[in-house]
Amino acid sequence: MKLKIKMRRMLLKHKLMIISSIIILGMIGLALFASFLAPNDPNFVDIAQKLQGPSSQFPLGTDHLGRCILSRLIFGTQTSLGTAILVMGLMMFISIPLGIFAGFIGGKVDYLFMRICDTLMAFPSFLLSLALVGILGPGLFNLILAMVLVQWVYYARVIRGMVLGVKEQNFIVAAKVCGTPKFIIIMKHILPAIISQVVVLVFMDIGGVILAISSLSFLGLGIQPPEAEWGMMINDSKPFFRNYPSLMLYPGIMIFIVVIAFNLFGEALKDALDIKRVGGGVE
Amino acid sequence: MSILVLKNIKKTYLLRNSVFEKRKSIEAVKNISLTLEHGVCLGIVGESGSGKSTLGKIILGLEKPDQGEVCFLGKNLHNLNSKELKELRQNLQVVFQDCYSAVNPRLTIGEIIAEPIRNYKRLSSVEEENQVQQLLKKVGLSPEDVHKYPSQFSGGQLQRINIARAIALKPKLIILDEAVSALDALVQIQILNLLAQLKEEFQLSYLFISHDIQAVNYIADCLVVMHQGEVVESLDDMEQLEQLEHPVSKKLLSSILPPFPKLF
Repeated sequence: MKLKIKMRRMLLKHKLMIISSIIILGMIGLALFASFLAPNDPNFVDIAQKLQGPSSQFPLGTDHLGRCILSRLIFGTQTSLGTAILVMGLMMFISIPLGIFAGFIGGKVDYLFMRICDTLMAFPSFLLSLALVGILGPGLFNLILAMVLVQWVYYARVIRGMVLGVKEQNFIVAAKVCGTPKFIIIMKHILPAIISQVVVLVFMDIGGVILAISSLSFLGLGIQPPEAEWGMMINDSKPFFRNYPSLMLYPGIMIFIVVIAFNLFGEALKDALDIKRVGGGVE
Repeated sequence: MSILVLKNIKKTYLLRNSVFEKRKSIEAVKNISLTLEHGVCLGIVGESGSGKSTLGKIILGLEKPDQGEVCFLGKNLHNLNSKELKELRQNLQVVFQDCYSAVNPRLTIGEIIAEPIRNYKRLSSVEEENQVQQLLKKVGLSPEDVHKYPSQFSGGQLQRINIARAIALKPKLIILDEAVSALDALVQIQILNLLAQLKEEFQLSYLFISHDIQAVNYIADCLVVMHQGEVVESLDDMEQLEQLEHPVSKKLLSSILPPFPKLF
């Protein structure tokens, strides 16, 4: 009986994983093949066709400048998802080496690192990004810069914590006694031990990054028109919300689907990569 | 020549309990001097918290003593540059109590045992595998275990693997930090026999750290008793074990379970 429940739960998890990965892959496909899939030019303005309902030429209608909403949604995937992945990648590029370095070396280096982290984390991170973009000026590059500069601290700190947990294990001490150089210890013993947790962390948080990018774009600080982006599309449709709520609904639904897909995928991955199971060769 | 000489070793740990209170410190090791001759097994016994393991870490060069010096093969261990230290490390190995956490669960047995060999010798993969298989035979495991993972072994077998890794470089001194304490009695005897046999074969010296005076009596040639960071009693001849006088020694002696206890 108990096994049955366990198996059903496993299957459910698998289902979640399959569904969420299909959605994510679909989104990536949309982003990669946007120019083939979009029925119209997303930036082609035709005021005569503005605010139309769904039709065969414009499957989801047009916005206030007569641009095809479906095409803009598809091209928006490119910017939203691409930017989010880029931001996440850059953050990992900074925080994995720094987190491991601080955690492994310890002592004064670690202390200094932690105080820098504390200082940066004392500000609300979104507000800090907002202020930073405000200073740097709106634009895609500045948005990425602001988000990476503010948020890498959090990840570096989490990774440092993971390293501290692994570092105390006897096999690290044994490796030191064996005369293994520090760099090899990091690459061979520490990185493999934490990488699965880091991957889970990335997938759990990428939804948040997408939300943050959309929010900043909604405020007009991120991607600049006429480039299509979901958050900006919501912003554009603000004045017409009363009469044309669908304008705001479509990009909102897209954001919702992508964020929830990434979160579910992260959850499922967390279960699948359970550390105990990663460790052993055979169950 | 003595293989290891400790002179007035002192180590204090600072505790950071509270911002407002004065910092407390613990003297883990106070003023310890020891000498270990070549080919001898020195037992260090004491209760938990008596500083035995800290002493082990200092001898391994993992912790720096606040005072005093550790001379291993005539060189001050804590006063070397990294190259000299690496050279010296070849002769100094360790076997831990917790055999499960002493091996990386993501590596195969072959990779685990080959790790010290790779750090000091340049061998082809065939030669390396040959050496690993020989080492496995030496510690009483099958050479076919090379490709298995640590989760497929029992505690006693894992301890054999740890011993194989420790003897891979043919060291002069092995520190056995409670190496048999986590094993059951039968496996303990097997591992102790293995250790005694390897000691003869490779002319090893052991520093056997334990709280189990019976195990120490089985393998050690001489013994020191530690209590609260100090050596309170030492013995050069294990035959005179019963003559230990210090209360801590008495306590440790009386903690041996008799083989045929009177129940009623």
